[in-house]
Amino acid sequence: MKGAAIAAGLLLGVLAFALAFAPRKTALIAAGVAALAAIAAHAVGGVTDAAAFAGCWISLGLAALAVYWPRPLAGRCWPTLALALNAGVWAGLVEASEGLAMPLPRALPALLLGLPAAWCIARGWTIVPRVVTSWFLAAALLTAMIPLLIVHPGYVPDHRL
Amino acid sequence: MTAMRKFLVSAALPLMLLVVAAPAAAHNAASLSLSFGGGFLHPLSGPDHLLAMVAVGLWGAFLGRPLIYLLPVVFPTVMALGGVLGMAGVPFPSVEFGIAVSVIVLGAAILCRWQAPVWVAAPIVAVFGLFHGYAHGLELPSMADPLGFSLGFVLATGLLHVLGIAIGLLRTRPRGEGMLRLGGGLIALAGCYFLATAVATI
Repeated sequence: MKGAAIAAGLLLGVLAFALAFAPRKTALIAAGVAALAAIAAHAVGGVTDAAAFAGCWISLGLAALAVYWPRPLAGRCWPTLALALNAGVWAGLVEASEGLAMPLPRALPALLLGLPAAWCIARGWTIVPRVVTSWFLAAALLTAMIPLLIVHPGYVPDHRL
Repeated sequence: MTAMRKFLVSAALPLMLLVVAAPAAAHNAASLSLSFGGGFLHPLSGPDHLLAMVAVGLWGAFLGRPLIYLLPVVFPTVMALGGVLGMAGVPFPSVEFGIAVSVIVLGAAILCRWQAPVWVAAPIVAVFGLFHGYAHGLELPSMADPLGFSLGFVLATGLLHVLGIAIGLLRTRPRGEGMLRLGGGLIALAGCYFLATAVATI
């Protein structure tokens, strides 16, 4: 288990936070594009495990950049749609790489995180999606690195080295 | 028959509780056996972790923009890296000292209202995050799902930062700043205790 669904969920979650900074109409269209792209890529699949995860993490980095520096995307429809399309494709591919016979990507509900994020941004609390994105980045780092570890020490008493 | 059933039920319940009961002491190996829950509880059950995480948010609130959101962004990210190092068993110097010093420095920064610039505050918090993350990673139970455990401690840490920021908002209230600085002093004192304990265990 390499956490494909978690990886896709983290990617779509961060994308949702990025879209929350965009105008409402653009954000809704972009979220739809991301969802359709994820469903299509999930159905097609055919990318290796390593490539799917690499694409997912790079896309997550791009989406996180759009959260911390939303100005380049502000009011621009095509870059926002391109970001959503890219994230959707990699989210679908990474879930497909897990090899489970699921009709839809399990991570799709993560796009709904854009709703509370947009609510916070509308009230000037832009700090909220940014801080939560950092948690997602930390979780992504762990999801990427942990499968590479072979030995877990475990049950070592509280930081006594 | 009914009396016998009643007896069996009344005897079974305490026995079941004995089976599932966990020790009362917090922050031990047994408490870590539930993956996500164990990870989530880990920063909450250790006062050293808890005070440091809250202090990060508090200090951020004192420093204002951009550090109010930069510190809670830097800390969990670097902490995750430290967690991976801990799980991998990479040797790391004096983790317990590092954690105690983090509590002292963060508490003192609040007490003294240290208006550190971004290029000083962010690296300091990053180094402390590495120590805390390493401690979390090191204590990962071998039977636990490492991913779930890690996600748990990241979420708990983030929420503690938010708590710190929320407490920091009291600064605008009358006598709020004085109370917060007093709190910072108490955190620093607790850090001194943790340091003394760390020295005593050598």
